[in-house]
Amino acid sequence: MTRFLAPTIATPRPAPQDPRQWHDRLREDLFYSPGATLATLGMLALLAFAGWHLLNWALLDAVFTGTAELSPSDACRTPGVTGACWAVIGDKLRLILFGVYPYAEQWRPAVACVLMIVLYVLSVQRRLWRPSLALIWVVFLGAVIVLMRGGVFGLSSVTDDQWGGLPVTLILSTLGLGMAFPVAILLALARQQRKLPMLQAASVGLIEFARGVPLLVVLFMASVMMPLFLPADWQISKLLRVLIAFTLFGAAYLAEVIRGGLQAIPAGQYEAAAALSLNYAQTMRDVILPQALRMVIPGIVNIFIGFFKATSIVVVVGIFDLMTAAKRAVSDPLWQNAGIEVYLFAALIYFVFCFSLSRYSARLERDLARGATN
Amino acid sequence: MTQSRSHSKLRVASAQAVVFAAVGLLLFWLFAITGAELRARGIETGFGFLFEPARTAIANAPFTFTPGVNSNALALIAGGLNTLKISALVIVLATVLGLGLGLGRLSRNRLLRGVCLGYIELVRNVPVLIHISLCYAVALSLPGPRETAPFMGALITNRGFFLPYPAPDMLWLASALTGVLAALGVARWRRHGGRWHPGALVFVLLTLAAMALPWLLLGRAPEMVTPAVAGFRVNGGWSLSPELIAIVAALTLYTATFLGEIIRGAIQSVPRGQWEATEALALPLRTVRRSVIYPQAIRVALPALSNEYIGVIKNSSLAVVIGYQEIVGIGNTVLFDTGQAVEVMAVLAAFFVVVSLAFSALMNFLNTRTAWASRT
Repeated sequence: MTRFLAPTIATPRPAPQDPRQWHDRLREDLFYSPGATLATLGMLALLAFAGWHLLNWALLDAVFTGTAELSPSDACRTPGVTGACWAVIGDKLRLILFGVYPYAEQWRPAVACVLMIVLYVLSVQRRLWRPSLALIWVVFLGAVIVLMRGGVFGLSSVTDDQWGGLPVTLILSTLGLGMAFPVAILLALARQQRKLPMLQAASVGLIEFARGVPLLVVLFMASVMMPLFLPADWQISKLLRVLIAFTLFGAAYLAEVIRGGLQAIPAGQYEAAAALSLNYAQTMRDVILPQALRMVIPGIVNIFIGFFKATSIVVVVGIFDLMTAAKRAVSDPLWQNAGIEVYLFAALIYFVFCFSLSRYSARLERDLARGATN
Repeated sequence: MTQSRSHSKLRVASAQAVVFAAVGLLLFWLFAITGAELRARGIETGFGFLFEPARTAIANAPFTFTPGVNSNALALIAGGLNTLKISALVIVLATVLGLGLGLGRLSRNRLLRGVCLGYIELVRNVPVLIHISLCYAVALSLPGPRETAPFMGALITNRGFFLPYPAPDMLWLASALTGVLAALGVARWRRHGGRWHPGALVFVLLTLAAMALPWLLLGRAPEMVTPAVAGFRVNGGWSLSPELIAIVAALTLYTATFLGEIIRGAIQSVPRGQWEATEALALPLRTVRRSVIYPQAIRVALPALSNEYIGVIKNSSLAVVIGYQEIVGIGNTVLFDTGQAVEVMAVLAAFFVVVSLAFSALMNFLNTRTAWASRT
């Protein structure tokens, strides 16, 4: 046996170098035919043109602050100013980030945002993918809610109609998805019950309804219809109602992703569990779900990205999230012409979160695929 | 998947009964409370309000709509038509742009690949609502009608786009006729012709030349209705409101990124052996793409594309934030005019479910047309 094995461990060699010179590479990548040369040059000219105009607008001609004589908004409206008016961001930063949260207490939403980001960073560590991660989520989200609401530990009480800006966006997407997760698992399992057609039909009905209707309609239902469905003396705040709507909506989409994972589990796993005489709950908890959920984590991250972007729709039912805060900043008569700048700033915040998450999801997908083939 | 642990019939039946009772109780509870709640607020349930006259005017009605005369039902129909109008425009435009992006991502030209990737990443990681608001802000910051010069007969202003359209003129009809005849002729030649197989460009050029033939014979161009500035208003021409432009542009730019990635993925999913086989047969690249790669890619892409298209129909409801009156916006107005929250929501939900189902049925039909019998 041993004579077929190499006696020493081979040291890894560096990846082979591209033997082409830079000009060869340039020719082969950009100027490989007359048509390609024309296209490349045309695109370069277009990019240079657009880039120059963008540079002028965004930096060279832009107004960043007011001056000693001029307030920021007057500085933007001076005749002859053709560039962007970034002064609005400085003037409205706290409104855009934290909404109408009491000004003196705005360190609390700031800390809440940091906690959320720490939670994201923890959640993407693969060595923390254990059931105890759920506990970490409960602790962090509980801390965020306590911090925002106050009323304990000497923090002044702030009702949720005063919450606003980035923390609301983060809370809606994260808490909404966190709450949707257990519901989604139940829905996905219910959908698999061939022997219980009633349960299956109820699950399919809920999932297909939520997926067939726009989120906007679901949010309208939560804001105008849900109060009719509940006893008159139940006072549920609008933010909570929207959170419930998000939970149900998200659960439907998540359930379909989880179902994909469940279907990918080979029948042998069920048979092995049955051979060990595990009951249904044990089979699911200890054998099927750990494998199925691990498999669909990239899909869950993608749902989260979609969810994170979709929270912006709450602007329509009057919840104060990042998007609403941006809209509110633009509705100030002083800054009515600064819409493009404010929305670009909000877009940047969304972009940072979504882009890093989507990079992570793509890398994860690659890693898991590689792990599967090895 | 075999669940070897056999449920006894009794257990299954009792579990069924529990589910049935739970769902029934929940529905009963909801109806009982809702009924009491509505009675307390003095709201009559039922769909009678649909046939009462509407109270509020519609900004972008596709037909003349008079509040006080026309019914709420007609208002909702107007909204439904607007939803379908936005969706149809976006689906066509986004497919064209998405095709460009998807093929661009696979180009040999590194710069083109980079530009397409940059565009896709930049646009798809920002909520579509921000795109809508941005496009609207841009549409409103265009110059006013009096500060702009017509560009090829079209006026692009902060009051909307005003495009020229063909006037009723027999010359257009003649042009269309020669065009169709030429196109049919060339198509026939391409199929049955001898040595000469005209390419797509020649095909288009020949057709265009045939369409211009009657103009040359009569020595004049057919008439157009062009927009003209009159005071602060623009008269004539085909007008597109800034709201419509913003929603269509934003949804197109956003959706195209997803379509592009689907198309790229579908083309890449064609096994390498297929490319190698065509090389072994020494087929020209154009034939390979058209007859071997794309037909297989379409089969992979169609289900994902139809999901995106249904997403477009649902996303068109976001036009409500910039005040374009599609079905959700109008439903909202009717709701506030009549207070019939449950019924209006039911109408909206039914509309979207029916449209989505009809669209999936259409796409399924296309799918069965494009899919060939699976190999045994």
